[in-house]
Amino acid sequence: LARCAVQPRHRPSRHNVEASDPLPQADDANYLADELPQLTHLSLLGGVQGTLFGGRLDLTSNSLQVIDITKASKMLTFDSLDCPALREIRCRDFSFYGNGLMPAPPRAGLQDGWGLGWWHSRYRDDLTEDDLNLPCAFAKVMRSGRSGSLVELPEQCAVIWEVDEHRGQAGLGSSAVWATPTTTVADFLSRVDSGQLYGVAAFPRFPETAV
Amino acid sequence: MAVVLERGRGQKRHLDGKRAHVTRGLAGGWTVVSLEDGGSVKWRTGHWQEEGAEPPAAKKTASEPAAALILSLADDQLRDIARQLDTPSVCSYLCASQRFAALEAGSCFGECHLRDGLPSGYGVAKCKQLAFARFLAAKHAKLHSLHVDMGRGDVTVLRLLLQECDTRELTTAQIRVEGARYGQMTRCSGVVIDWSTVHLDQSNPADTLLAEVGSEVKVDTKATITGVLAQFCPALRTLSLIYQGGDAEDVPSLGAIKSLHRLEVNLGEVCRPTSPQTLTPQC
Repeated sequence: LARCAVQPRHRPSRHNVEASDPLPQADDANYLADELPQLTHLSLLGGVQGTLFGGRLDLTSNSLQVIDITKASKMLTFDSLDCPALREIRCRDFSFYGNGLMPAPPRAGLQDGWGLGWWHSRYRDDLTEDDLNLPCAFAKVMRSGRSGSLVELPEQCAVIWEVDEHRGQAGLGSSAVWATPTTTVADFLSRVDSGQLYGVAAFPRFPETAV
Repeated sequence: MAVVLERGRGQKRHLDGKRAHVTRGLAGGWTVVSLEDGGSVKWRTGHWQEEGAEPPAAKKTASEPAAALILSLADDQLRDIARQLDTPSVCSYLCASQRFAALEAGSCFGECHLRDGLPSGYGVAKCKQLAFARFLAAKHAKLHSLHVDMGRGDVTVLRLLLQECDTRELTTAQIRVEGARYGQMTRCSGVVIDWSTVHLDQSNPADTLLAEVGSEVKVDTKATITGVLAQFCPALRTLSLIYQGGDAEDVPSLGAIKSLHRLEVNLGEVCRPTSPQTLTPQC
């Protein structure tokens, strides 16, 4: 850590580049979003135990439309998103293996965290009528399981939390839940309750090559 | 039932033509046969000729009238048909037509799928994948899509493919790199691998084979997967690059593929600010 701490953020690191050709950003994903002017779909892999565990994405792209981190590390989240064309963020569900963004409590003082967050039926009585009419806000996930600072999203951008497939198979969860910055808290809660399917056909996943 | 064995693969290839008796069936399409010169061996059910049965050519003609029809077509017509098929269908089609003369131009292959985990009968058989890759390279085949499953050491094959094939219109690539040293195309190519020394990274006959492939790779061809993709694939729009044993190794080359629209990849490096003043990159 001491060795790493003295390194500048923009060092070339372990990439195969000449010392005279430093990376503009140290973070690979941020670097690629910056370097690829036509990139519309970015899907990060690596599994829950991947090296991006707890990492922060700081993406700037005019072309990026879809970010999928459902197969990336747990607790991978966003520092900021400057992607005006963004229309979809796919992340893991609200479990402790979650990543991406989480719905922020409508006001301070409400129960926070995964699994039994403010949206859980146990805590619904704490919500006022005003809370229910507020639009959803999105916060970065934190290691503590509580939501971090808010992340601004384009109005059309849907955040989709996908239920872990093993939980789905075990009957512990149903389908994906989604919300946009214009979704009201009341609508979001009804989707949580019904496990409403998101329009997968409207936003196709990464294409499978025909066998 | 007395049979004459045929279509043996790998280490059982030397048993082709030997007489045997079918003893008992096993699960999964296998049968135990007793060899006439002693011993027994597991053999693929049906990969034999019954003694006294009609000659194979006559039998095939009778049971596969479609194949006979295909054989009556001219080479140009065969090529036109093959151009419309995906790779597994092309392989089935070739099995039926048995007309490799039509492939001389090598132009009918727009796809290269060298995959693992497909059921028997689909895709290019593992034992033929390396030869197929070299065939495509030798013919400078014009590729539109590529799907390759390989081991760490098989990158040479991909380098040769991309170097030699016409990849100006290659738009889709899906590449999966196993953590293992050799992928299925090397493991099943007929070389004997000393598995006791593989983990020691000592030289194996498989390395000799790969070195032979590597001798055809030019010096200025990039060494990494992303490097060679950036070098030879100017129209690549969709890339899925799955590293099962790690993360993408040459991200700057990936950033050089400016035509990319869709990208699926393992990325490793991330820098985490733990306090406003201190950065602790986990690299």
